Amino acid sequence: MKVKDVLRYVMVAIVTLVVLFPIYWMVITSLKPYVEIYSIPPVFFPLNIENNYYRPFVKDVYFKYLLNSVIIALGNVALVIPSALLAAYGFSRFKVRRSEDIYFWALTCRMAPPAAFIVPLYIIYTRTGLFDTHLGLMLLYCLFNLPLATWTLKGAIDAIPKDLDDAALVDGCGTLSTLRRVIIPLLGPSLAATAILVFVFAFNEYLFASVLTATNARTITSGLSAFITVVGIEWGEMAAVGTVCLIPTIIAAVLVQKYIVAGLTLGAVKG
Amino acid sequence: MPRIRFRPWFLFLPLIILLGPTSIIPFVYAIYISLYRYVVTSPMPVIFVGINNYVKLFYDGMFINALWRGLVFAISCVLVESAIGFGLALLLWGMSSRLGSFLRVMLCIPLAAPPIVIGTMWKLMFNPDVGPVPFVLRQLGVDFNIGTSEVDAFLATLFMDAWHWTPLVTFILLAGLLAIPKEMLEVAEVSGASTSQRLRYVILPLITQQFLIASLIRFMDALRIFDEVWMLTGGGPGISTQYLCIYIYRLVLTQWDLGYGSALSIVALYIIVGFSMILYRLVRGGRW
Repeated sequence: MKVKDVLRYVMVAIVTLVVLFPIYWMVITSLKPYVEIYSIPPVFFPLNIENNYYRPFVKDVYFKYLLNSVIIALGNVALVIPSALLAAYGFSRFKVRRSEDIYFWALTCRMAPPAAFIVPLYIIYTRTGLFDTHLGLMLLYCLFNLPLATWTLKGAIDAIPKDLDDAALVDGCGTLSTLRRVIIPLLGPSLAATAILVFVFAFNEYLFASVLTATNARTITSGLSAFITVVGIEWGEMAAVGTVCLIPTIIAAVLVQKYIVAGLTLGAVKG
Repeated sequence: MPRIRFRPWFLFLPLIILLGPTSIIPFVYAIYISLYRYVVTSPMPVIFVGINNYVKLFYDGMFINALWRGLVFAISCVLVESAIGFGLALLLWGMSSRLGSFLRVMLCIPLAAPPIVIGTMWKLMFNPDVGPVPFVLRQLGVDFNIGTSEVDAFLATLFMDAWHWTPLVTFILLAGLLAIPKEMLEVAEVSGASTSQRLRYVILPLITQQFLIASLIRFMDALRIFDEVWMLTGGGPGISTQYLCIYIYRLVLTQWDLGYGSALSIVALYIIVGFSMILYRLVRGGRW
């Protein structure tokens, strides 16, 4: 093996260590008894296991919060994917006046700071009864997920030859049935990957959920900060809830890694 | 081939219906509120004050502080992440496929993790009482305390952001590297250019666009950062990591100053829109 190859392996090992260590640390903190969390020197390989998951998820409300997160994220996927599919097909296949403006608008929605929307949204939501409802968050998450899904799907549709559309058109298909019979079957994996990405980003959202929900529709991410209390931080339980939030998103990431970058850059970079 | 001419507007309707109310109504409403003095907790009546809330911004030391610290943070993020990201992209570029796909998977993990959980993870890592990082540094004779030292808190947020987002920069630059025609590199090699010369005169000029896109996306995202920093430091110690969005949050949800908070939100939004315009031109590859 050449020196260059050895260096390469060393670099990969360093990156792996840096990426995985904080995750490892959170997972073991979630399994440590109170005394070991505070021990000096820190315990790097815990031997006494304590179940910090029990109290938040069984005795407290975090299981409900987790369900809320899943319901809201699934609802958001159900709203975003069909609308994004139609729009992506439109952007990909038809020359539409103002489509550039719509692109810019969507880009701005994706980039806008969520904190800038909390005042008006808080007032609107409390007055319209959307406050602390699942539907409220499902609708709101379209703000960043719809642009993301539209441009990931547009990239995928662009890759399908237009001749297939024309053939379907000659055979008498309308726009919608072309989409249904030709485009959607060919999209297959990228449609699934986009749905997973939308789910992950809806699941991950924190700020809107923490401002616009109270108890009924509270999501698990917005419940995380509740472990920081005036009398101190409940490290073990916070780590337990954090681990539960992290694991599904990591699995999803590994499944759809090719699409993450395209989604995050609104299609500026093909994954 | 005969084509049916029609304007398929209905394809865009769901997008417009869903995105319109969630983006335009709050925006217009925020402008409206920003013209009033509206403090929920104050017994004084809500009154129309015109552009006073905007004028107030110029005299608000906390706002200047938030903007300044936010800018320093964002620029530091861009510099650090571009440097490491470029290194990693070069590493991935010349790598065997099996090791390369392993590294890709590793790099994808931070990108999908919930930001608030990333804040939680690094809070566990950096906390002076329970974290391994201050412990290890103390063994090396360095005192690292994000609860008392402004510099340490800043470095902690920077490190956390680099952990989270360097992979994105890497992937954007890698896409640029992979698009370089092989012939160009071969010609450079045959003409006797050294590795550093090839890097400087062939590779870098060809991925300028990717560098710009990555820097701009990172700059904008770092400028509007909230979740992770809020979890890690809560804006402290003092106001040292109180970046723009954290200041808005504190203003609105602890002081309940909705009028002034809205004015600030609108200004923040315009700053971001300005940058997204630049990004938009870059992405479209259009001229100015």
